[in-house]
Amino acid sequence: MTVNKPVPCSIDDIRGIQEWLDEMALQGLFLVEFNRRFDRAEFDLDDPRPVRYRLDPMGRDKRKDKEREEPYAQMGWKFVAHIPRWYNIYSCDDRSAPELYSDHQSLAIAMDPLIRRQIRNNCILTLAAILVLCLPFLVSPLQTLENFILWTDPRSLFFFCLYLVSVLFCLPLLALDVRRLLRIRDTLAQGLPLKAKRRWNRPSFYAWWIPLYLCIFMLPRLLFPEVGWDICGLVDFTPSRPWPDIVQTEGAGPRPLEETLYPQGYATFNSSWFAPIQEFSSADWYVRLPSEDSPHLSGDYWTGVRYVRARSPAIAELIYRLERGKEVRYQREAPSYPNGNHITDLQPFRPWERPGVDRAELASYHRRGQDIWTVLLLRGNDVLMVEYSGLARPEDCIPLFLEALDKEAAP
Amino acid sequence: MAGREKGPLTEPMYYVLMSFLSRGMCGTEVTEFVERKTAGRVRLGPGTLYTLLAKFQDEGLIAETEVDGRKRTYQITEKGREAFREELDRLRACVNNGEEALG
Repeated sequence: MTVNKPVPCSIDDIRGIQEWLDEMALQGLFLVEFNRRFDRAEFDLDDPRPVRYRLDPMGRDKRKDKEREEPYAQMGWKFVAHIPRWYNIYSCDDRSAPELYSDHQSLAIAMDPLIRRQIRNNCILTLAAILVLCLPFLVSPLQTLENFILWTDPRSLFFFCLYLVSVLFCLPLLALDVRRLLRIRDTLAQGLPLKAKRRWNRPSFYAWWIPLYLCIFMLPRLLFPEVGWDICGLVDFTPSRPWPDIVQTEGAGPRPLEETLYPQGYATFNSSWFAPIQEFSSADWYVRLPSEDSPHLSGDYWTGVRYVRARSPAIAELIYRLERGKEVRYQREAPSYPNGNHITDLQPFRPWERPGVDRAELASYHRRGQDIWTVLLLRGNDVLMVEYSGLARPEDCIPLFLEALDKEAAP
Repeated sequence: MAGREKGPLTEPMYYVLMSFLSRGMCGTEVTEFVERKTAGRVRLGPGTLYTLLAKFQDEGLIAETEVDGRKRTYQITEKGREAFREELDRLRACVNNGEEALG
């Protein structure tokens, strides 16, 4: 018959584990094996008798460890089980047999490979954790920053910060783990005996640790349910600024538009202080032009407005740079796009002096028979990007947008 | 030739190295030698013995000369002899100093 018991000692508590196993033997419980996680041990039931259990740190070579079993057995020590990557466990019921390690210094020497292995593993773990956190920033820093700032769920940002803090908290723990082992080795190297540490109750530890863990990870959902963005379509959307639609922008040009207008787009809002962006709206107004009326134009004819209201001018500045970077990437790649989607006659972003704005840049190109221009504007906390294809010139249209930027939308 | 460079030998190390001075030995013979030599004062546990044998082998103080199944025989090297002599000189100096101090 076997009995399963939780292990009340840490894995580096050599003396504690040995004493606990010795006590179990006196209660008639004889070790069979430890589980992989080293949180439970399996025992055989038999008549109680004194048996010494001793831990032999695993060496560099498993084959050599295995070869030792026979000579150990000749000297009275029988292999019982192992704790993966840490120790081989031997038992001896012959009271006259010498200790497995008859002096502490030799045990200190035997611990060397184990400590080296632990240092190496912890270093690999540390590097892996740092790499996983930094990889997106290393591979594509601009894209990552963009994803961060424009994330639609700010709780993701919270989780990233939580992981970052967890990693920063765990890295010193790994160092302490190695330090603890080095101290054990130093104690033994000085010829001093190890002391058993205080035992602990694993089930009760898990009983408070699991709820705490759940609390930490449920925290954003429990405490910040309102932090999430409100998303709505253009039908339900009242933008914070009354942006001109395509009819108005066309009105500024030589040919007032009479065709039916098709709006599309969406907006997201967030009033939480956790969200770096308070409002993001993307609205397109377009019409399908009959080709016989406008032989010089074909396909859709549109105005696209992307507006961001940031929490601060610094964030607005960052978003401006991100939006510009995204557009520049498009303009760089688009000349080679297939299926007629490529652009020609590109005039990349250039400063565009406009009164009343912190920064303005203008780019233009030709696509599918249409002249298209793109304007990026930064003013205080506001970032505005307008893309337009039509007959009006930017000098005529942009004042309408600047005017809208000054106005609050009617409630 | 310089002997061991890693500080003084511990008592079990000293006796294990001593056991190889007269001839090559296997692990069990080393244990018996040490126990006999010290009249039972120093008893080597198997963990201690095989850890020290592996360490001495790594440091080049002893060399494996014969493998017969699981039984391995080792012999002291010149470096090992030198290390033993150095340790002996150190111990002799310690004893002399102690005797001088006692008068």
